[in-house]
Amino acid sequence: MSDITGVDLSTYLSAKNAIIVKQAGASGISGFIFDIPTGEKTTLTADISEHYTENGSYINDHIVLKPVEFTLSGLVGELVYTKPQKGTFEYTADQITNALQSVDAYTGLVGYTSEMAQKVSVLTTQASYIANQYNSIKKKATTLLSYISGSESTESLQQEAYKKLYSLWKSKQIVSVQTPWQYFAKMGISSVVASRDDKSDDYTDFSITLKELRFADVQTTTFDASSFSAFDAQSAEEKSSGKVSGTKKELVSGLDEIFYGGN
Amino acid sequence: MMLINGITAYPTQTFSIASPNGDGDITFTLHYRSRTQCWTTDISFGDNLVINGLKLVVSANLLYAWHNNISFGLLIQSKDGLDPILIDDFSGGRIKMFLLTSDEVTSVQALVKEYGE
Repeated sequence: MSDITGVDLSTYLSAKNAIIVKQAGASGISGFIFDIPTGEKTTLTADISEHYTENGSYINDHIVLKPVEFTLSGLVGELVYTKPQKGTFEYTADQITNALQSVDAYTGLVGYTSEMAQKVSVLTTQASYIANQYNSIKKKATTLLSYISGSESTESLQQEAYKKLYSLWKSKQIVSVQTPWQYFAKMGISSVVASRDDKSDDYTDFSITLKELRFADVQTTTFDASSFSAFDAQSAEEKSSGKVSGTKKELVSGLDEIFYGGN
Repeated sequence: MMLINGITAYPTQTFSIASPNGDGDITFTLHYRSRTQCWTTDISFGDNLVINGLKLVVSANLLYAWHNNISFGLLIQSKDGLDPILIDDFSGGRIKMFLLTSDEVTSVQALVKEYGE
């Protein structure tokens, strides 16, 4: 598709659909990615105070912003079709098939008839299918080999995904989340729901709810050595100032001068 | 009224000052109570009066309860209406302590009575 539109659609779609939950500071794709994202939901909430007044109305004079909450849901399956990667045979075959199907005029330019184009399309689709099968068999063989040699576990992809999320939740990991609307650098996992229905055992529906984390800043001040600690003040030796003098002042003229005077 | 000078930010201090009526010396011992953030005082005046642990608060005459026994009064003045709570309230000038003569005790009491009415 990239040749026709000038936009690398595969990269664009990958970026658009990739909802990544990764450890803060981790780079690349070391994080968790849904095979098929099914939904994202952001909740922005605030508490607005309500005070009753004598005349039967409310006074709302405070708004407290609550932490942002975000829910991601998606499927993790055992067999997932992924778009062919650049440089592979499947990618090239996919490119030809798409080009022939999308742009009829293109076939005319290279001298193919419509029938020919259809045949080429069928052939490339078959070739792509065979290549996929080959890769699948190769992967299974590798997995089997690893299993026999003991270097790979027999866990399903769903179990692996669950374990990854479980460890993030259990370790109270601070995660960063890229959502379609905003990037959140510090989020905590408040819930992970893994569910499977009776339709299939081959995929699990995961739902992760994250809550924004806010941290208090610590400010360091210099210690005032001239001030007494509570203990020092209580146990200080009595100090005598001897006989002190007084200064004659005019008597206060009202009680306000006692409570708010002293200039 | 007579402003008492020389109160420092030291937590336990004692001093004496001549009574404004000229009938003897009054001895004050001031304690700063850091745990409860307040100042208290012990006052002795000849054989007539010994008061221990009197909390210093903003007042027209803190010794009104003893006005039949003693000739002087004690007025505590604040700049902002708050009682003395910090160790440097007296030395910093936010709180001032005055001695009252017997006439002034009567006048101040009249002010308090007037306010009450």
